[in-house]
Amino acid sequence: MKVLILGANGMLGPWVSKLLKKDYEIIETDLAKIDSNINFYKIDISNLNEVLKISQNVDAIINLSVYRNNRDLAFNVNTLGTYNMMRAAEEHKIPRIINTGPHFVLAGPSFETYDFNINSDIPNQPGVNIYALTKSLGNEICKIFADNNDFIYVQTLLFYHLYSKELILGGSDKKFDKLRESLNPFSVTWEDAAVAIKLALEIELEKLDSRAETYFISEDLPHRKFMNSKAKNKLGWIPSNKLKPLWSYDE
Amino acid sequence: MIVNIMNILITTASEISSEKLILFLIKNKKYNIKCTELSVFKESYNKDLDVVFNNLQDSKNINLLIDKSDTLIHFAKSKFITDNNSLNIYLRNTYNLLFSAIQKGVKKIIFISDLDIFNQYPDNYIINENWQPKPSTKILDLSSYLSEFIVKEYARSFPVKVINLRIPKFFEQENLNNKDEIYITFDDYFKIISHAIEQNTYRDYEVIHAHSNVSNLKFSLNKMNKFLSLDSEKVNLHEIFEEPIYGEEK
Repeated sequence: MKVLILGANGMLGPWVSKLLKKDYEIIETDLAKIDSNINFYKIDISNLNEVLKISQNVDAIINLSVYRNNRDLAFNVNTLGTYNMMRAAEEHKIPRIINTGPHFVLAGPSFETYDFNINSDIPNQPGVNIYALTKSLGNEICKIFADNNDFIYVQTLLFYHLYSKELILGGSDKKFDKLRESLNPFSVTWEDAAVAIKLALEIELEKLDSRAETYFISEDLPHRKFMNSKAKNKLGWIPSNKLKPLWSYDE
Repeated sequence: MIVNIMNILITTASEISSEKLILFLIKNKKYNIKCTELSVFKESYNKDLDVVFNNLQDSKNINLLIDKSDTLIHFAKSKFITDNNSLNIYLRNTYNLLFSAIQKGVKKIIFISDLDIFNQYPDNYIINENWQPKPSTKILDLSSYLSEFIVKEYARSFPVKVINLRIPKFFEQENLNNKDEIYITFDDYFKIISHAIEQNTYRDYEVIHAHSNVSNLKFSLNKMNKFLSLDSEKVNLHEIFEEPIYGEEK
């Protein structure tokens, strides 16, 4: 199986490439190359022609691209980029699309502020945070293309805080003891996140309940804020649950 | 007698439908109409209109544009939208415009969207405002659906009244191919927009389907008719907006 990874050189990409490269022919794309790349192409996801060209003859696309703060770039990468990916899926008849994003693609302030036991089959309520909203627009675009093309299956995996095995939060320079009392109730390790993506790549598409499915990829956490049961039941994902030292003194 | 002047900002001023709306509303002395358009249309606008051109990219300029506006009338579509890139820019402009509208205390947003986002449903269905849109992947359908999505999130997040008015194409005799084709006349359009400007809805986000073709059975006009009969000064808004959707309790 030939797998195209968009946004391969962000924080999650190298974990995914490392896990997939043994079993799959992967094409890594991003705006700049890094040392670990094995089959790299410089691709700007906001350029439709580039995305169409690199997508020829691939069996699956994994979209890990993301831009968080700048309004222009957030729309270019998170919304237009996802549209371009779906156009490529439509044009080249690519059946398996794995999209990613933060949990507030679905569960923005209107859910997160008030509720518990939030599952991944809720309607999108991202609020107006630019990162959440532009990613949520991308998610809507995925659903519309799946609805209009009966060969496209989109699986969206949502993450938020990602930790190394040393319990260092991605993108943070805070020490363990500073992180300990502020664990976000939507957290997972990089390794577990990559495993979930591999499982989404391997599940038989006909076994999905619909052609647009969404999963929360978060460890078993005691907050009971977000439910990961769909990822477990459908994908067979088993989190390694290594974050306990961040929420309990009983190690 | 003191007359309260209402400041209204209308976007996409060079669209024929916006031009006509502006020229209609401008006759009402209670309204102070400001209209805007993207700078790319600077050479092709109606010179009878006083248009403020703005790329809707820079917050400072948009804040100046929208300052002191009470009501914003914005559209899901523009002739600017021709491909994936212009769609993306238009969505971003909508986000920017609403961001400034909230910052500047705009009280009401009237958003003009399109019934085309239900085109994927069969014509023998009876669709009302409670149906989930089912857009195609055409650029303009995506623009309507995704722009609505942005507007809805602003309505959910901030204390602003939003009326999302979904309409079909405008009636022009030469464009009407058969009697079942759905359309709205400019007179009906002006009537419902005037009503939307003047009346307050019960909920912060209200969707209304409007058209003029009574022989078209696909889109129910119940809510539009209730809305047009509404005088929010005199009636219980809760009753008007809660009851017509689900029918009367037995």
